[in-house]
Amino acid sequence: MISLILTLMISLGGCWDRNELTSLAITTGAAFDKSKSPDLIALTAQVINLDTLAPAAVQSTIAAPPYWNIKTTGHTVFDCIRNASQQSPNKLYWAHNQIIIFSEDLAREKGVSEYLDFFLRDAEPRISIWVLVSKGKASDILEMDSKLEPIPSINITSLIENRRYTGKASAVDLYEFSNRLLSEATAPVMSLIELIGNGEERTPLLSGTAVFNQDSKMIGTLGEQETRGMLWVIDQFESGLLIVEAPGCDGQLGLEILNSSGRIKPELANGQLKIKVEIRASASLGDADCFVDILDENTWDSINKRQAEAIREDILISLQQAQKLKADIFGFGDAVFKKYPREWKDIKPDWEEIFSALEVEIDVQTTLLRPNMILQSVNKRS
Amino acid sequence: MLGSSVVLSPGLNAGSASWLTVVTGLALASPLVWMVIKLTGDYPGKTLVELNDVILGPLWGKIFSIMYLWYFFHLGAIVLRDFGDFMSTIMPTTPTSVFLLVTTALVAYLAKSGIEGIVRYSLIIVFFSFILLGLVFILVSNNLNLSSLLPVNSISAWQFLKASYEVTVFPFGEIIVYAMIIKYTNNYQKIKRSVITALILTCIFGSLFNIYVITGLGNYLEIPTYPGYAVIRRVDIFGIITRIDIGGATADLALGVLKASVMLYAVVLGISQILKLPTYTSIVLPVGTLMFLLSLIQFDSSVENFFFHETTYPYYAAFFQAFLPALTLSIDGFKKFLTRKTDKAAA
Repeated sequence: MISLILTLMISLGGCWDRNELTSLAITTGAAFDKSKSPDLIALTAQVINLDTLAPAAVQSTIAAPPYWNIKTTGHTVFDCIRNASQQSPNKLYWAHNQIIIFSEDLAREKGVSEYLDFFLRDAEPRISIWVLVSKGKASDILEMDSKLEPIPSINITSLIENRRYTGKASAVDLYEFSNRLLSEATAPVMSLIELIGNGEERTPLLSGTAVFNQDSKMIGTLGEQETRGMLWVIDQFESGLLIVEAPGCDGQLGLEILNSSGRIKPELANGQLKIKVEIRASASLGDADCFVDILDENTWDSINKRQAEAIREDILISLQQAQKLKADIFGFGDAVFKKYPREWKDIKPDWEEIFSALEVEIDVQTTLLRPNMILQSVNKRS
Repeated sequence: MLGSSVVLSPGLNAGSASWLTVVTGLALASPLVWMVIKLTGDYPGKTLVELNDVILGPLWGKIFSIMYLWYFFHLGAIVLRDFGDFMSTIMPTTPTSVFLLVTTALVAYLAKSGIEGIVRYSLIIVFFSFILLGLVFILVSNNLNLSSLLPVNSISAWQFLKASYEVTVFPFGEIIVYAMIIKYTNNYQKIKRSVITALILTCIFGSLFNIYVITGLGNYLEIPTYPGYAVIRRVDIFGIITRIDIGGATADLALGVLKASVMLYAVVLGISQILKLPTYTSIVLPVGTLMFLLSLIQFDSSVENFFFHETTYPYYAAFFQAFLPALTLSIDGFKKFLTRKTDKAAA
């Protein structure tokens, strides 16, 4: 009896849910555009053509492009995906999907939450896939001719990873977007992508941030500097260059941020709410346009002061835009809720109004670490 | 005891204060634990079924025992179903009955090998599960956000007590099943100490687990079906170590099998004692099959199961965990009081 049970156990394990590579269409990206009919959802799914990823010797005999964009419509996202099997010989497989792109008009008019439910509910997709908004049609982004990387959606994933070298675009995954959406106050955000150039030479540009309201509808955008301001405050600024005026000569300096941290401290005194933002950052001198005299006693301090000033400027401009949009992109509301849960009940109903007129104190402390390989510049002293 | 709590994470209804519910849950459970220790301590060498006979007489003792055994039987079926639903969520096209069948087969095998087999299994499984869960914890650690633990008082005291009570009956109150097997421990004097140590360790682990879920999910805590599993799904180390969720699922499943096998063992042992069978091994497979069938038919959907855990189970379990032992203890106390009186009168 026991041996019968053991045999059964071995033979039954995982039977129904097995997946054979040859019967799968591995998707790497999904794009949602406005459909012609308001009741229908239009999905473009990017599928890898596995044959073209074969070793180079075999590859030269195959002329097909490395990917295929399947366009389907349906009443729900899942419906679209199942309808895709009417066109594709292989069933779409979502475990390796990297990105979801929404077109801007769709995000502004319909909101995105109804499109996200499937990706959270189904067991196949990862919760760490990136979400983006595209200026223009989302499916166009998946069709561009990418240069070094043959598959456009993988190319975009690399661009998102690269944002850590500039800090000029945000990187938001499905988890973080949902987490912000489920908050009582914080405004959800997504990365923003567009195509630049024309004709054959169109390339993607990842720049800035799309801002949503609590109904998951897009209400505005942040530019590059405003995005940086947000990243400083929410402690997600990884690295990037700060361009400051050089002291003592006519030119500019590039300071590379190496470390940074941001903290939000709400203070409630006499019924007056105030937010204190504390930024700590350190940078090194990355390049100089002109002869900057580091050996002069005051120069180093003065560059450091300009660094702090540049960061403060980023945050101020970001705050202005957020207050104009009445969107709490920094999570100030959550911080207030955590520190003053009782008072928050009274604040919550008017939070948008309170936020748009909120007094924010920005405290930036910076260090300038080193001038790197050369102490003096090759630029001639002016 | 940890088994299904890891999958279903009881007490998480209390939001950011959920880790505290485990502690208050244990505090609320302490009278139940005391009753188990008192009953088994007063009648050393006897299982729950045997001491019921002594205290309540052959007829009422058996009625009480049958009620207890039904509860253990049902609890085993619930545990199996919890894991069947969980596995089906991960592997959607495989029928739940398949998962139930293979786990029941293992559970029956363990129960048949007796208390020694179960304990040996538990030593290995608990060790490996903890290593696996510890590894997952380390990999998740960069996703944890400690500020999610604030504010501590986000919910009303009543809601907090309710969430704590859920932890009391599931899992702490389920200690009653140990009244069936406690006589097999090597050293009688150490029972009290080992039970209390086990409970405190469970409490610490449970609190840590809830802290890990709260800080790992933040606001997202509100929506996943299996919060603990959702945390593991977030693991992404430089795009290299991803999708390690199945490791966590394996550890959970191994612990669940342990819990279900203790339940099945308690049931077959009890039945054999009531029916005065020479050995319990002959009824393991029939009872195991019945447990499998009950776990299969008791809920039409996993949502029904969650609903049962939320609404019915807390009251249902209280009957077996609190009411029956309390009644038994007070009858026992009353009888002892009477005999002492008659002894005195006779003297």
